[in-house]
Amino acid sequence: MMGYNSGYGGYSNNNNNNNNAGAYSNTNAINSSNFASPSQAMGYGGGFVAGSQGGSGSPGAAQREFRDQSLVPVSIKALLRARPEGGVDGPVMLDGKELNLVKLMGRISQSTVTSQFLKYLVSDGVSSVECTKFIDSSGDANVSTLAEGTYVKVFGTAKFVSKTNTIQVNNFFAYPVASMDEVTFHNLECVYVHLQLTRGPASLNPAMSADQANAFNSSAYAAGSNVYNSAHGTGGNMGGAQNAYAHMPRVEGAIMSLIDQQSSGLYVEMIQSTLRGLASAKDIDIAIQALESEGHIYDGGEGYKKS
Amino acid sequence: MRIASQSLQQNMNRTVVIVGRVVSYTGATAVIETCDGGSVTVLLVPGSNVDGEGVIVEVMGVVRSDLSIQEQVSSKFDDPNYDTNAYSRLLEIAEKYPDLL
Repeated sequence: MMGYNSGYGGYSNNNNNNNNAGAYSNTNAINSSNFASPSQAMGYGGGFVAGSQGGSGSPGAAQREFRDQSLVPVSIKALLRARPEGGVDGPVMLDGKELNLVKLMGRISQSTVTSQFLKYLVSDGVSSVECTKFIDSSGDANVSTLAEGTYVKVFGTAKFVSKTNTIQVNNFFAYPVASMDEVTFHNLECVYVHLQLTRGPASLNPAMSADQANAFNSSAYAAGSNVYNSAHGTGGNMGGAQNAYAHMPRVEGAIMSLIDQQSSGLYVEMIQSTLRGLASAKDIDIAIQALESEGHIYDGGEGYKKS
Repeated sequence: MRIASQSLQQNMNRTVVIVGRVVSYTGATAVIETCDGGSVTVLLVPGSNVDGEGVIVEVMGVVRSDLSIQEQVSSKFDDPNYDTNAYSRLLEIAEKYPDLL
């Protein structure tokens, strides 16, 4: 695994869990070997090879092959907030993690069936998402339509539709939910994954160094992908800064890096809009307060500065 | 917003989601027992999915001033049991993350 990484330049986008991804990838002694997702196991960079560093344009074709295919459980409310990174064709991001396959749960509030496609409007509480699936005209025996009002679990691909500025779920599979316990579990899992993505894996042993803790706690959900960093075209600097804040939860580390670059101070709104793909505005508020109370940053009247 | 019977008071006139077992059903109304042991009266809409006793249902509706719920839509679940402790914990967590759930 380590041999492959040495071919790529300093912007190698390792999908591993320590936050050193921006740094030169040869510091791989710490790479955890128990990767859960196939893309991590390959150990390839994410495709941001040396040639594409400056422009932060859409990822090269190479990256699409190594897209993170892990299944992410999401609440519909949170899913609707996801947005593509780096232009409308970029990968859809939520909490700093690229979304492909998602799992969601809700009630079918509307169902449209034609000979060509099947469309369910799935709602959980007040949020609804449209799920569409094209039906093979030869009569696919696996497609059975479910009645409106059925509570279902849906697995599908999250896609951003620029025309309507919304998220849609395509090519889905829906199964009726038999037990309320599945709903309880799904909701809890959504919160758990959200927390893990925004705050880092739960550390079991505080005495472990950050790198050891990251290696120990590798998980399919840990957002190792640094699409965010590379997309902002500050790969080199970010790499160095990320190292310094690797011990902090992901969102706080990202905020510290941002503030580092702007010595004259950064307003909350700037931080929120810059980190939009990484965390919601509320999460950023919470992280800023935590940083302030620990004394890492202070409000200089013209935005937050490093202490 | 998912709640249990104890939060009905502070959610008056709001749309909430309530889960429980149907303990009594009259066609136009039903009483459901929620995870915290409380009872909630639900005014059903015609064609409601709530159609019998002993079933676990999830009801979305508006809380009225008398703390009953006017149903908007509901779903029933085949499994007659669910883990009330786990659901109670979910409610506590859901309250802390209104952005998510």
